[in-house]
Amino acid sequence: MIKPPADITPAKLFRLLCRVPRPVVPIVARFAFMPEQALHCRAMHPLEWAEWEDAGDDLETVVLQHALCDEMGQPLLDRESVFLLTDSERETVFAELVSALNKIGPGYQRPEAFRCDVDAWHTALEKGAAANVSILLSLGTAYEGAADRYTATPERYFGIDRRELLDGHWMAYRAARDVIEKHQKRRR
Amino acid sequence: MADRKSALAKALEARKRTLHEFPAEKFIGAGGREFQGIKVYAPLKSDEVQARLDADRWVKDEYKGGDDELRLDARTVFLLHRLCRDFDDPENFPAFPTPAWMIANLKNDELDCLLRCVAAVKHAESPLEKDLGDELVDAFVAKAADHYGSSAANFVFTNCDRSWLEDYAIAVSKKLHDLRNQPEPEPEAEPEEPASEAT
Repeated sequence: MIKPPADITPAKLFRLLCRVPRPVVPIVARFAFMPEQALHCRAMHPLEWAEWEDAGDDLETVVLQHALCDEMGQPLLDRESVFLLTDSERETVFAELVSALNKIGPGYQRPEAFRCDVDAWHTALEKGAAANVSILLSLGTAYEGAADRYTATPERYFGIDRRELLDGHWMAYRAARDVIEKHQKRRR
Repeated sequence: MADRKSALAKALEARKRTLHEFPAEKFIGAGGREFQGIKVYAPLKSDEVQARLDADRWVKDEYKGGDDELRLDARTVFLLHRLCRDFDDPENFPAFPTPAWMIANLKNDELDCLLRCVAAVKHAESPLEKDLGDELVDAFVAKAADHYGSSAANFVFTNCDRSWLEDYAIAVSKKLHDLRNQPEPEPEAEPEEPASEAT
């Protein structure tokens, strides 16, 4: 099970997952046919992960197609282009992407090898939320209705369409909500 | 759609595949033709997918379905057929006429030899650093330790081939051995107190 990264502080991890439209981080690998192109990894949407099952593609193809991007988060390779990479190019870049995804792209549902320890992520993100008070106050209060019977509206904070929210956004939101609720209970 | 491709995708599509040359004098081709040598491409994902599809279709037609083992064997030969190219005109012709011809006429050790050529090509084209310096060993140790306990640790070595892993294991063993046999630092001698003067 993938645990929250040990080399990133909870405060930074929380901010990282709050990035919109998606968290993007650089990776070390370069392709020899275009070494000047810096490669980055972006967190994947649950529907992109699901392509692995729905389209019957192998995991490498799905991850290379959706996670590999430039510094602005724009995907670099379409499905046909991924098929033009050699074995070793695919394996090298895939390994780097997986390593990055385990830091910036936690999820509720993942293929077996990528399953996240959701409780451990929640605990780390609660700590991170408490350390980012201004984000906490805006994100943790993004809901409609009464505090005990509310509809979550994290998309209002993130400013993106609800269906574009990543699992990481939801995790950060839930952590922020829990911190606020705990605080309110203590004050009652 | 084509103009929406990134510069990287365009460069990838435009790149010319490298051919690697191997001696193959002992091979006899179709019609008793002798080989001067053989040229081999590094496998692309598209080669693998196409070989798999063609092989599965062939097994289904020829053997009324076949079994998994037969399909796996056939996929390997179909892939070799795509990668092994004619010495004189590699871009247009395969080295052997058809995969079915290879299955019917090549011996197991000849197919093994072709597989070893493909492995050598993959190794030669690997973007992985091949020289194992101290810095690289330390970087891999740190990376594996970072992910220890999660499946991500296994991906750290995904792209390392067997001989590289052997060298790495030896380098790490040597480091560990040296560390364990390091002489204990001698405790610093406490400064002697000046002898009290006899009164």
